[in-house]
Amino acid sequence: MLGVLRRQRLNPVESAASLTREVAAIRRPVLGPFALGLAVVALTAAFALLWGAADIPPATVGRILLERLGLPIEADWPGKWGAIVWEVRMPRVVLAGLVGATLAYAGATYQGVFRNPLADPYLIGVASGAGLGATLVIISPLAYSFGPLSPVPAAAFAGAIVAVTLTYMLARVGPLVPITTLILAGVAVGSIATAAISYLMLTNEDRALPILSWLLGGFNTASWERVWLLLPYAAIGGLLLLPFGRTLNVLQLNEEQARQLGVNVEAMKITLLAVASLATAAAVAVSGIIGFVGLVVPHAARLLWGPDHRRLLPLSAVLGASFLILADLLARSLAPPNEIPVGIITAFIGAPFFLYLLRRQRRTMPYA
Amino acid sequence: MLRSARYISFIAMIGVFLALASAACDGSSGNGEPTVTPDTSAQFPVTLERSDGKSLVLESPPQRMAVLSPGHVEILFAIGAGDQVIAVDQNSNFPPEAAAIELKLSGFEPSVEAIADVDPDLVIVSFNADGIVEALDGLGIPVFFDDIDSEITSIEGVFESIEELGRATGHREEADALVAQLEERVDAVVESVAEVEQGPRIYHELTDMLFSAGPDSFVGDLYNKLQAENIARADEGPFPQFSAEAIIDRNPEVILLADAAFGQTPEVVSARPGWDTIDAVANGRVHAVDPDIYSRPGPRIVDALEELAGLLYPDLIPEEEAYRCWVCYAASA
Repeated sequence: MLGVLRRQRLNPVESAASLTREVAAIRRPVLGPFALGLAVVALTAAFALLWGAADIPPATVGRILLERLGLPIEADWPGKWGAIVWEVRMPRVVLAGLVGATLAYAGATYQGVFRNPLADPYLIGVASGAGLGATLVIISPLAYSFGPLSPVPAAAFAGAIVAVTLTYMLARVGPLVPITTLILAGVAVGSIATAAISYLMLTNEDRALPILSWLLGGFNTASWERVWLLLPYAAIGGLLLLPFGRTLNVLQLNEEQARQLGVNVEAMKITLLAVASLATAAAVAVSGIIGFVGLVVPHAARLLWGPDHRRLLPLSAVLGASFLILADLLARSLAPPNEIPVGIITAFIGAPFFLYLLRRQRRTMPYA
Repeated sequence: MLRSARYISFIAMIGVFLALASAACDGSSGNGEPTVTPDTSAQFPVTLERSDGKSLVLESPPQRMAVLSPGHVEILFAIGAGDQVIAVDQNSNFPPEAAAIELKLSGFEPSVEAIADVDPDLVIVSFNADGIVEALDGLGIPVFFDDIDSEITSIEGVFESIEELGRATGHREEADALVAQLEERVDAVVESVAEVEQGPRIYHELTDMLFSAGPDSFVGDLYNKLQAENIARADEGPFPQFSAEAIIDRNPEVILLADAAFGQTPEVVSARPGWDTIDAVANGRVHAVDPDIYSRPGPRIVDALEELAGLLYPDLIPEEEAYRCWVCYAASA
């Protein structure tokens, strides 16, 4: 790491403070907490697989999984149990984990780039753009024309990309994209999209409920198909962002200092936001708009393990995965066979947990 | 920017939407008995009990009604009070004469000004959107707030509603005649399945997020009457939202889809992951039904009952006698 720093055209005087912080941060290992985080994800996932509206013995769940993974185990359980475990619960848990991880690392990236504690991955129009895209398809005859392969996720994804691109173009001042302008443009684009959704719902009252149902999101209709749709974006987005932890650290300085540390601030901002937005758009496309995860999880990770983005990104991802798997587990098992919208759960457990962390570690809370 | 707060408000709204969508579904509660002055010689004044506990007195038959509830609209036209309706809400698409009314108001986000502008002598609403009832009260416009969506939980409840509207509009005899005729048809259906001891297990889907109708709902009463076993139990509420695995686990023998508006067809539903193990899917007994007919507490609910009898008991009710919806519904054809 020091080597990397030396290769930059470093101004030792002005960046001394940040260098000290960096060195201190490096000594704190990332692998330990990350392994712990992965273990927690595995544990939550296992728990979520065992639990459900259908009363299947835990041992049988385990044997069904092993059988589906190709082990020579005799399938002596009812066929519907196999379907429930492998085609309903499993994709549901995997999808919740992927969406949670994506929203969380995208949230950490947004908060880092915007240097703003209230930033979340929906800040510059992804959610409202996706909502408008989905709405337009739902009110059109198109929604019925594709059979089992719904055009809604594709439309939501396209809507999100259009909204973010529009925000970016509106915020551009010559070659620069000032952060403040970007946020304001995002608010404006988001408001217009939201207003358009409301208007379309009111003028298409027979479609209002389907639209709301999509906006509410959740994992009740998760499938392997949706997992495969999201996986490339989530994985590639995560892998692309991971090496930029240090860049995000440097972006926390003022932009002049960052420039002196050899960071092309403009290019970095755009790259990071583009990757995070793309991954978020894919997550929203397959699961609707799930609030609170992208906002709260990065803060929780920061309070637990410190503000260094090299650690924050991977740790937010594992924390986000566990959090959303757990929230979805509660959503479907608090009042079986009823489902509770997962967004209610994320708000209900996310906010108090956040406050608890805030109270416990009042000493340092970057951005807040 | 759909942030958390906004999002939560959406969640709050879904309840309202569900009530709207299934609006046409419930029978009248026990206490929703139409309270009408017993004076039969001069049928007016008529006193109506509103759902907010207040009373509304009508001195004479209303001649300029604005009706913001599709179920009420269907009833009014069926009892010959259609001429007295001057404006309807956007979802009122039946009968054709009602759909043809040019004055369309919003039932979901009603505008006091738009309503006042048509100068009605009676407004009928089934839910109090944005305090519309109080607003109209304030303007001195008579408003009959009749929450049939949550108060009606049986087919009999619909009949009471028909009689109540008959009295309120001066069409008492037509209403009574209609109810007698509908009761006869219900009796005939119940008779035709009388030998059945245990009908098929059914799942009635209202939305693609797997909201269903339980036995204590207006829709659920159709299945009660037909001896079918609803996979939703009474203690799970009138409109439970299922998880997919609960449906697979409870293994319905017939699935009825009232969510074509959500892009759900028998083909789509049969292709859902894991659903191929469900008896209804394996045996091709997934049927699309017209949500307008199945979810409105109006006279057509008996059409729904007759159609369902044929769908649930194809052996008992010969194909040629089975009722087929006369408003041809593309998805179920």
